[in-house]
Amino acid sequence: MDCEDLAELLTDLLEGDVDADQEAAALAHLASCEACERVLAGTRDVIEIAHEHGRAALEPDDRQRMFRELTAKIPDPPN
Amino acid sequence: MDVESPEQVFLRFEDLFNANVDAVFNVAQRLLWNRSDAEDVVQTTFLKALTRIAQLRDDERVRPWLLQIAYRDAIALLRRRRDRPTDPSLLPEWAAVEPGPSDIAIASDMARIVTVALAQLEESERLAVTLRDVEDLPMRDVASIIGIGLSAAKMRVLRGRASLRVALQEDARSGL
Ligand SMILES: [Zn+2]
Repeated sequence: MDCEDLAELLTDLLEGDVDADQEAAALAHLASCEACERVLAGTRDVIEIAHEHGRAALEPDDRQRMFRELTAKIPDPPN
Repeated sequence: MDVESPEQVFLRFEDLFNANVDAVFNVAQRLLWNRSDAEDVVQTTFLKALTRIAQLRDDERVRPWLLQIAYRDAIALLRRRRDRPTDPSLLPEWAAVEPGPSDIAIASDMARIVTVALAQLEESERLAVTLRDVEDLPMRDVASIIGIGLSAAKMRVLRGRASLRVALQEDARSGL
C-alpha cells in the first residue's frame, strides 16, 4: 500500500469500514509513513473538535420558547 | 397498536421536539447563518412532523427524517434568497464568511473558532461534516438526507474534513 492507496482508504478506515486485510495493510503503511500518520491523526482531531464544538447551540430558554411558538401554530390542539 | 389519546400524542410530540430540536436547528443554522431563518425552519420541520406523528415511531429513523426535511426547507430558503439578491447582507457569499452575532455572543472560544472555520467551507462540504461529525449520523444517513450515493457522501465528508482542518489551522495562525 502506498500513500495514494491510504488516502483513498482513509474515510473507510475511520468508519471502521475495512476488512482485516485492508486494515493490516493500512496499519503497516502508517507505521512506516509519517506523512500519512499525520493526516490520519489530524483528521481524527478535526472530527473530535467538530463533534465537541461544532454545534450552533440553543439555550434551554430558546427551546422552551420555540416549543411554545410551535404549539401556538398548531391549528387544532389535542382536546 | 393501541390507539393513543390526544394527550399521549402531544406528549410524544413534545419528547420528539426536545430530543431533536438541537440537531434540526444546527443543520438549518449552518446552512442559513441566520438565527431567525433557522428558527423558521425548525417550525416548519416540526409542524410537518406533527402531521405524520402517528407514523413516527422508530427513534433511530426519526432524526434523519427530520433533518432531511430541515435540509430541504433550508435549501429552498437559500434559493429564494439568491433569487432576490438586492440586500447584500442576505447574500449567501456574505453570510458564509460572517457568522451571525448570536452565534458568536453565546459561544465559547472553541465554539467560536469552529464556527468561523465551518463558515469557510463550501456549502455541500459544510453540510456533510455537520451531519457526519457534528451530529454523528451514520454515513448512510448522511447520504440519504442529502440525496446522494454512499460513496459520494464519503467523498464530501472527506473533502469537508480536509477543508475544515485547513481552516482551523489558518484560524490558529491568525490568532482568532
Ligand atoms: Zn503514506
